[in-house]
Amino acid sequence: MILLEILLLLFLIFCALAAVFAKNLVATVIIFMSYSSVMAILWILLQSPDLAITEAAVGAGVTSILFFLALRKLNQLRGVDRDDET
Amino acid sequence: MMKHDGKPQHLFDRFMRWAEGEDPNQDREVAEDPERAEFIEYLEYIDSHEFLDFGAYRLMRYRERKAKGITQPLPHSSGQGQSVVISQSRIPGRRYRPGRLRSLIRLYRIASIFVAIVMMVTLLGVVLVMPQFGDPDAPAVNEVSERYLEQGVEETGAINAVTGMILDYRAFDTFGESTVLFAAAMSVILLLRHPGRPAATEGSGDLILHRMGMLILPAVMMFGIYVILNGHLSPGGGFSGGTVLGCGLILSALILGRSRMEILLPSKRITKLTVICLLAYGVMKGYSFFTGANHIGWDIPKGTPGAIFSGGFLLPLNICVGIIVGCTMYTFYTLFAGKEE
Repeated sequence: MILLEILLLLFLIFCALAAVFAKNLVATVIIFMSYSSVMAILWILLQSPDLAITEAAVGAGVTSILFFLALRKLNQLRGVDRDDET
Repeated sequence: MMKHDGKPQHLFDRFMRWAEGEDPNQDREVAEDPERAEFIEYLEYIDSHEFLDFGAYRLMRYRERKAKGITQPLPHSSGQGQSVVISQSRIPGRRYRPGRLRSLIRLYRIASIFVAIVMMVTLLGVVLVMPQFGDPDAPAVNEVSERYLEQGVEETGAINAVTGMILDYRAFDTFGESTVLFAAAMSVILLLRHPGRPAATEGSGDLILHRMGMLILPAVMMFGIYVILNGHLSPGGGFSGGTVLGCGLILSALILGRSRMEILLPSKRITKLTVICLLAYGVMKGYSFFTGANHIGWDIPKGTPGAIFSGGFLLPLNICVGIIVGCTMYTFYTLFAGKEE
């Protein structure tokens, strides 16, 4: 269990750094989502399932949706050919 | 399309010409206008740095206008020549000094670094003062938490000690949080909502999204409602369940489309629900605290701990918080997803 925690923590640090240094903004948001998911698992391992539910719903759900909406407003969503702006 | 009159239109034109690769300094004969010259300098700055530093630009404009003594926004309705005349007649001594923008940007950077360092030092100082992790004399392991954990079940009726704490002993904190969320939602509505503007995007006709969403949606909604209703029994509570519920509402808006969500939850109904829940929370908990936290005259029976109807105020308070949080998340989504006209 300790090994799993260390692995998850290392992955967390990796995700945080990768989210900062990623060039593609969509990739950044997706890395941030994975960061939140790993953080939710860590909250369960730290015996606070309350926070785990909130972290999964807010971090991986609502904030990423809002980020994606912002990226769509900035026309940064490449590869999406559905044109919503007209 | 917003209507640009006078100078903003002109600056916008110049910006667009610059963005298309033309030389913005073609018309040299008007370059004596100080605002225009500074705008050109700003364009050169972002051209050389390849990014838009709007903070520095806004700071520069603010300093300039403060020096002029103007606090009102620029009159946009007046014609181009007229506004130039006004600005020149009001400020006779103002001249364009080259390099001022650069020094202001340096000031902006230094100020931001300074603020960040002050915040860092403050927070790290607080962390240093805090007791060591696992220290037996720490305030976190004194008689308050002991009482919460040992007598919480009989005093609040909640199996879940966290909910008992945040909705009974510390209920005013949660009230403040709900008020902050409500204020945030109201500001977003004030800023982004126009009467003629559709509130959300149409549901996409994507078959995979539709089928998968229909598959997941009942489970998400049921889980959210379960977490809210069982907040005093199992992990979770109003805030977590409300967020899950908000995610479910966003998902249903994505797969059902705007017209069907307008039937289920028009924006007026969302506002009404939020306000009613916030008022109910405030009245219930305010009364309870006003009477010294012993619910005189309004005694909801605590019930047996572990049953769904137990815990006195906890169940209605959880429902209120859950509805507030869910509606706020959904409001954020609908308003930010609205189309620009």
